[in-house]
Amino acid sequence: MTWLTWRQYRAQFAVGTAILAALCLLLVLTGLQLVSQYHTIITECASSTGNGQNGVNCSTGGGLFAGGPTVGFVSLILLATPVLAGLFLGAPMVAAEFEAGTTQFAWMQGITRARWLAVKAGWLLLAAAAWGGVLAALTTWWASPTNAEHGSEFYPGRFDVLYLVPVAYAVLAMALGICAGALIRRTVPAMAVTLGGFIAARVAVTLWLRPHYLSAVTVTRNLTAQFQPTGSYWLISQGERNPAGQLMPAPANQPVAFGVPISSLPKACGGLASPTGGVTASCRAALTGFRSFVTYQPASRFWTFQGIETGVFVVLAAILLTVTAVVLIRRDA
Amino acid sequence: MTTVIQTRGLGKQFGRVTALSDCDVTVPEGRICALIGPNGAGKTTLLRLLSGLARPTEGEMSVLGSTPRQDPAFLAGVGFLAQEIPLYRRFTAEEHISIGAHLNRRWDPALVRDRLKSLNVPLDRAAGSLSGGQRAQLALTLTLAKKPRLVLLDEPVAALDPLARRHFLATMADAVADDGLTVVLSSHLVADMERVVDHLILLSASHVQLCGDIDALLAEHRVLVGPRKDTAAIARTHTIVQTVHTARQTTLLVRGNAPVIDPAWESSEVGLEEMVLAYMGQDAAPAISDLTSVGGET
Repeated sequence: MTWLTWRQYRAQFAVGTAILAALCLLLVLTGLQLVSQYHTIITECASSTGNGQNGVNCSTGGGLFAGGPTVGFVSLILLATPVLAGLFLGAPMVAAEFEAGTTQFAWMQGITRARWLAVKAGWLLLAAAAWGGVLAALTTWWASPTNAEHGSEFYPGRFDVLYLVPVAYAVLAMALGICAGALIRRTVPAMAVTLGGFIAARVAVTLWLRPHYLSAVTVTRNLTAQFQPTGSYWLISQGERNPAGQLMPAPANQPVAFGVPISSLPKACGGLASPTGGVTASCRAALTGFRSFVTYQPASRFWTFQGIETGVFVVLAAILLTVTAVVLIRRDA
Repeated sequence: MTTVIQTRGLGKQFGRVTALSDCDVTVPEGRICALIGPNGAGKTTLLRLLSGLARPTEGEMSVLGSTPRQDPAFLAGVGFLAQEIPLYRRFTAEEHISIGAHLNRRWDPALVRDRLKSLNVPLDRAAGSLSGGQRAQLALTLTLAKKPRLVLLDEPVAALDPLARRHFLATMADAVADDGLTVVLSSHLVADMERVVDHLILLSASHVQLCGDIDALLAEHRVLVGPRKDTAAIARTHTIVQTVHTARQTTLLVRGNAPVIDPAWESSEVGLEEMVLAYMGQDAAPAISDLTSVGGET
């Protein structure tokens, strides 16, 4: 069975390896630039706060790739890569055999369908994990300068391409492809369902599940007090409330103090609008009861969240594979 | 004598469509059994049920002493070749032989190579580039190479020209003679395989019309030709399978060995094709003039 799996997929394996090599090359080339830019920023901006030499803008943190599209573009590719193995190897695994009628050949040899599925799906899942793992490892190195600069590794879009979770995504995509192929029995519709299902699962988990793995920490403070969570935290929401508890409007093209439009602050604080105006005692007194809050996931939870998210996708994949096994064994071939 | 296939009340429904109903058949060991029936009679369904690829919706069956199931021992005993001759298009014959060697406990690669060489099937070309006859020969040889005790072939000769058809049946007959296996092969024509088969299952409209050894079946059927008259007297002692009236005479195909006393009837033996057509006629449009009644339960 292993031999058959290898023989059937050796062409795809070669293509997959070539694509992986191309992606690795892209990551290494842009990654090396990122590293050197990062070192330039550190050395140039260590002593000065304004513009350093060589055109480095220290006030905005330097800006790796100077705000160009490279980092965003590469990140987008990395978000999409885990689904590819499931799309082009997983979906056809059962469906293409049904289309060619070869299930009637393969399933009349001396091994059971359960064994056929176990060995074939096993190797493909391993390939998917390797595909996701190699890309995740390289991406984690590639992203380290931007993470160090922006502390953004916990944010959706960055969290999703780092460390462990891409492996789980690739495994889920593979299981989804195999299951869709077994249910639909036609390759192209199975690929469409795999793509749609993968996007739906990723979006749903990112938007509605991940923020609640552990209940977020909310810090409430006086409007005038400063607070900044440490490290690469994930900001869920922040805002300001007046003494009545109402959320204050976001500033829009008007003078701002403490993150809110000055026009919506008490009159005693009107002086804040002038460039020289400080927080007067009367203003400070008038601001009693105004609160500012930050809801966030602390940086220390990063690995917990990686683990939970990996678990969620591995469990989903296990459910899909169980469904596949039941369908293949129970349904007429 | 060992019974290889035995079914009781076997049936298969696809939604509301009945593909096979109340099917009772028996095939003893060592027979080459023709499964005959018009298109859509349920031949493929029966073969797929026997192979274990599909599950029945009613009834029971015993194939090689057990219910068809997902079990290596059962799968090793049964070879099935589907009508569409499924092979991996990009794989060569040699690679198919390797698949078989990896997936079967009993497997004889040397035998396959010898047989394919003698049939001029190239071992090193992709199956998709072989001719229809070569593909069928390759698939049959692979089916036989796992040394099954029962081989189920679904319309194996339908796509072949007469010469390839003869080669194919000869390959199969050789294998039966060498290994003592049991074969069921389906076709909508009995003439294709009259020379090699010795057992018959006749399906029509999802029901079994006839099942038995061909010699025995022929011995219990007779053609009676007589003047056009009432057939009630015959019907009391025989089962009338088919009645054909022309302007002056009546031809009957009857089942039963009771003597016909009325000297007006001339009795003669029936040919296999004639008998099969009479039973199959249930579905066919009346091609003969004045066809008044046809069929009858066995």
